[in-house]
Amino acid sequence: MSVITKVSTLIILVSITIFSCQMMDTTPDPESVLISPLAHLNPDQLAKHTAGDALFNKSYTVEEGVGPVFVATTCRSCHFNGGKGHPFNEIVRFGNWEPDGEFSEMLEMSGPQLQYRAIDGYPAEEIPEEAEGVVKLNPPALPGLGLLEAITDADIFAWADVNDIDQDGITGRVALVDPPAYVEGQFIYENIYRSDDGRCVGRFGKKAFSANLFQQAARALVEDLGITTSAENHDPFNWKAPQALREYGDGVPNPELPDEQLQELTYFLRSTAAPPRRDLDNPDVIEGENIFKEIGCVKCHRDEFTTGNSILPELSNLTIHPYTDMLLHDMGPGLDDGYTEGDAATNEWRTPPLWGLGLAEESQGGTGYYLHDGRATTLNEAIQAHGGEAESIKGNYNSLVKEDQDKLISFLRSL
Amino acid sequence: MIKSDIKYSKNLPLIFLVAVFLCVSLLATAQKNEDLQNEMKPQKEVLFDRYLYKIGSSNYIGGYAHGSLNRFETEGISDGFNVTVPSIGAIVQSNIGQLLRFYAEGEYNSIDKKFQVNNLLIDFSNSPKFGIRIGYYNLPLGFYNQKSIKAHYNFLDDPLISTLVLPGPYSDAAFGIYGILGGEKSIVQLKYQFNVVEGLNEQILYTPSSNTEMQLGKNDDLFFDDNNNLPMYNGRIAFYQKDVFEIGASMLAGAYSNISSDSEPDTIRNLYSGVFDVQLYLGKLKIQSESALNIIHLPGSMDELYADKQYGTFVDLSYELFNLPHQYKRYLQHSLSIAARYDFVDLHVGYFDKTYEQISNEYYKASVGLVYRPREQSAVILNGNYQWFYDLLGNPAKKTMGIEFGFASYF
Repeated sequence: MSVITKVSTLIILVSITIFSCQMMDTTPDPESVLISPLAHLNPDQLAKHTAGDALFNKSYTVEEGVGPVFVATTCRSCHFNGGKGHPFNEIVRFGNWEPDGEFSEMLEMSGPQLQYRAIDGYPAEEIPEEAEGVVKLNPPALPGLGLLEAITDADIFAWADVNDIDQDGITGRVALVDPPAYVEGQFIYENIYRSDDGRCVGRFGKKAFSANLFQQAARALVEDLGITTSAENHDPFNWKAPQALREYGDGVPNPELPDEQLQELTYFLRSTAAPPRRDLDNPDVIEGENIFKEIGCVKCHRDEFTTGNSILPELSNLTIHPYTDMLLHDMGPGLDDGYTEGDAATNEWRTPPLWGLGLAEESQGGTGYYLHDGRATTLNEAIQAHGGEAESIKGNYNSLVKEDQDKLISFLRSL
Repeated sequence: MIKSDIKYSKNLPLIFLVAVFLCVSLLATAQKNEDLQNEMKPQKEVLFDRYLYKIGSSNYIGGYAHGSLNRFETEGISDGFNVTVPSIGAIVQSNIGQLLRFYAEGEYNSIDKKFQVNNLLIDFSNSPKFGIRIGYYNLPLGFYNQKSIKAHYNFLDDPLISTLVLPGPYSDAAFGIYGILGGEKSIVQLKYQFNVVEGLNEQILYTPSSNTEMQLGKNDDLFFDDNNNLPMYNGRIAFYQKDVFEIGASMLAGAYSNISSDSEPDTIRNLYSGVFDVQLYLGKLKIQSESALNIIHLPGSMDELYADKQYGTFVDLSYELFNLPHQYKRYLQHSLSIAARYDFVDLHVGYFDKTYEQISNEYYKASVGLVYRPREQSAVILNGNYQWFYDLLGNPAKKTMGIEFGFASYF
């Protein structure tokens, strides 16, 4: 047998061996899958979820209505594997202060969202010089959003402590937003709260600006992709573009996405399961959870809710552990970007759910990008950035011995 | 995760297997006819390297097909076994006098459910050293692009670069020259081919995958309006010694962006695609490899979202385990080979501006094959492959496993 024969036979046999070993299974570890449908969906519900999933992963083309200015051409590219976003596709919003003290979205200058990409021949936007507040937002993770939407308004109000009656320094408050008309009829829970001036509870978005997932989906489609719907029926534009181009837009008649598909996309968001927990039997994780509660993290990152009666029975009366209280909190000057929307002040942020935190890196390319703008790349950095109402809790964390801090981090990574 | 298997007749695989062997057996029997065998000898030039039946004194016809029984599984989800016959092609060639040849090759693609023309050309050649051709024809962008008929190959699927990085199989309206310099007794011959072609269009950017796709820039229609009134240029040169080696370099370059008549002229943007290919014959071992690089000028705001550089490569090793002794080849040419192929494709070469992390969007694939050839023109192929796909951010790979059993043959 010649050397060439031996070498070539060896290479091919090694290939066959590798192939044989690898071909056994392609199934991912269920504990590593961040996004999946609710386990108890019936076949019809599952079909609707799957249809929405397909739309979520669909890449839209210019002929289908992308643009004329946009950030991405598919929902997926801001939420890889259903997870948190990556800085390359961050959302940028801007605004400025009116003489009357109101914060303006600068609609006439194509605000509040910057669409920094554009279809061919159309100029991409730039932040206007007049903008006083600019914020970068890292897209959120998607699992369990429908469960958060099914929490009752009453339960959210019950946790609020605007006047700090318990004197613990934590004063979470409910975001009350003025919803657009199209939101009416799109709520999935009963006993919707209305203030005297018609405002309702804001739940979604970093500043709790959106009242429900239907609004969130419609806004994301038009602001991120430039895809119009009957709800948000005007394409984004660049105010500096020539008038003829502005009038032509993307050349596709509005609305660009049928109502049925907007509903399917919304249902996909509503029917995603809570992320899987891992390492539940690990003593460090168990001890870390106790520490998490003892030092007060749980005061904002509320560990348990029970969803209310929903018009979607699959979301009704379920006990969930999202680690958020859905309230706005003052997070201090370090996290104040001078920008706001809805009811929130510039230094206020809605408590983000912590579930899925341990799988965040696996949807962000191996590096975690935490906090609203992805500025922290480790959980410890994220904790250290907490200020305002969380200052004393951060102090409690910093006073822990290193071993206990590690246990708390282990717990967070198990979520 | 949804796991579903498409229900199919339990007898379908059996029927398919019987059909394959009957088909191959019939072909093998038919080709025992010595006269016919002589008439089906392949011709030298790559484009005309097909097996055809001679009709009359100067006309040839033929056809080819491939099909398979296959099962693919991605992330634990499979739609079960499928029988596919992706393409059936027909070829007609007519020699007009000593110098002119008319050649037409069409293919029904069952995946797209449409008939497509691969070649429709007139060729003028007075000697192997120089020829001229005009029409709509397959272009030499890499070696595999012109030899993609599966009967020539050891795998039922294409190398990843040929469809993901390159627009293969790529045919286009073109005018060109070609030839082989150096006689058959020379140590090394030089093959050359240069074409002026219609070119790809800006649909390479506006794609359902949200990434640059050369494949989608091909024009669907045989005769169509040019998108920008500018040609692309294509060519390949190769050093060649028969049955020893062939080393070639090819390219496609030119403007792809549209110029629309009803508005301001868009900026002209170019693309450059280069391919380096190698084939070595070391006794019973054959090595085939290609590497391709695309460079695309993007509109400014498309940075990062779409790729301005793409790269891919594959290496294919095949080794002949068994071949009938020479004295029997007059009657039968049974051979059995094993093969392995490695594919790597980076559909987005570069780094994220904000994080300096490497942009991923990469495919890795390992394939193995067992190939039985009753004759040179026919093959029964068993393939297995395993693929890893890393998304733009390089998150944990999405894995796909496939197994295919099928045939590929001229008829």
